[in-house]
Amino acid sequence: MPIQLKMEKRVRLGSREARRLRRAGSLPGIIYGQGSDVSIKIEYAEFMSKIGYSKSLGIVELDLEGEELKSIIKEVQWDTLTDKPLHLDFQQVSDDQLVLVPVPIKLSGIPAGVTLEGGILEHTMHELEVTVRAADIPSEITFDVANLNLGDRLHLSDVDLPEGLSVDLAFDPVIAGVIAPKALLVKEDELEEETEEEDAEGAEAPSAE
Amino acid sequence: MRGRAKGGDTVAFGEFGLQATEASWITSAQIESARIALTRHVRRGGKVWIRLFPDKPVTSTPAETRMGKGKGAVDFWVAVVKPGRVMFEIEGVPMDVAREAMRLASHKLPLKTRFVARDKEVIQR
Repeated sequence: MPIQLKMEKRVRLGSREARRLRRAGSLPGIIYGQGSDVSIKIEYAEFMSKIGYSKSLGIVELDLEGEELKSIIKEVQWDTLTDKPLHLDFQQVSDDQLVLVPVPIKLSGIPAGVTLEGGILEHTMHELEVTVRAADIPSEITFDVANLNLGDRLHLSDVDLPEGLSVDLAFDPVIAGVIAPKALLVKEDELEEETEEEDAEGAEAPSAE
Repeated sequence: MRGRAKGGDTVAFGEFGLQATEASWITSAQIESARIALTRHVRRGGKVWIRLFPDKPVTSTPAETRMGKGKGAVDFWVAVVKPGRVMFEIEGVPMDVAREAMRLASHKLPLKTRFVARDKEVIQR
């Protein structure tokens, strides 16, 4: 069952009006994608209770003063200090329409490089922009990292994307990797230095005789 | 100091971060002190990012010096921090460890801070 949001058209536009709206407990937003753009306002409590901090949600049904529209949430602008939403972008879509959306990446499993070799799992890529049918937008993509050893990296080309998703990237990004902790690196450097010193002493000894 | 951070106000590299909620100059010694507090608490686990750099020189004239004779020498270096700036980030440790590490680090800094996460839902739970 898709999420349903009630909203109203917004007649008074501009940043000053948007600020007044926020003070009054609503949020400004816009619907675009099919036909002309429509400026809207939605209750803050309604948005936070139904959408909140969720990232990828798929299709959302909008009730715009009685008119029913299907859309995806294209962008939410957040106030970085208060974690409150500032503005919402809805893209009107049909079920079969291909859309470009960011989908959160989750990692599953604990890498062998972390459990056996004491490495740190570095999650480099947190979102992936995929082209997908609007009706099939996944809430997240999960990649298994259990087989990663120390120094290994998981590239996008190493994984199979779920059916129906396609990615158009000119490069092959790293999704995650297992890196050596700094303490381990320091220890290795010290060991190398010690062996070098021993070698140097060993080399000097015969000449001294 | 007016205004808010124009950039660097989201968790961009790690999982959790320490965000400034007020403006201040942070000296290189304070940054180093906070870094040590942070890395000591997480010990071997975790990766830390420092998203501050003290690139502003602050000069001072020595004590008991007569007026004039030009501007003083550089005394210390500071990073200019405005509200919203994510100063430290961490990854690879559980949230409670990250929160405690950031709390310890925040005590070394001259401004009010808050603990933030890449995934806002995690903090709300």
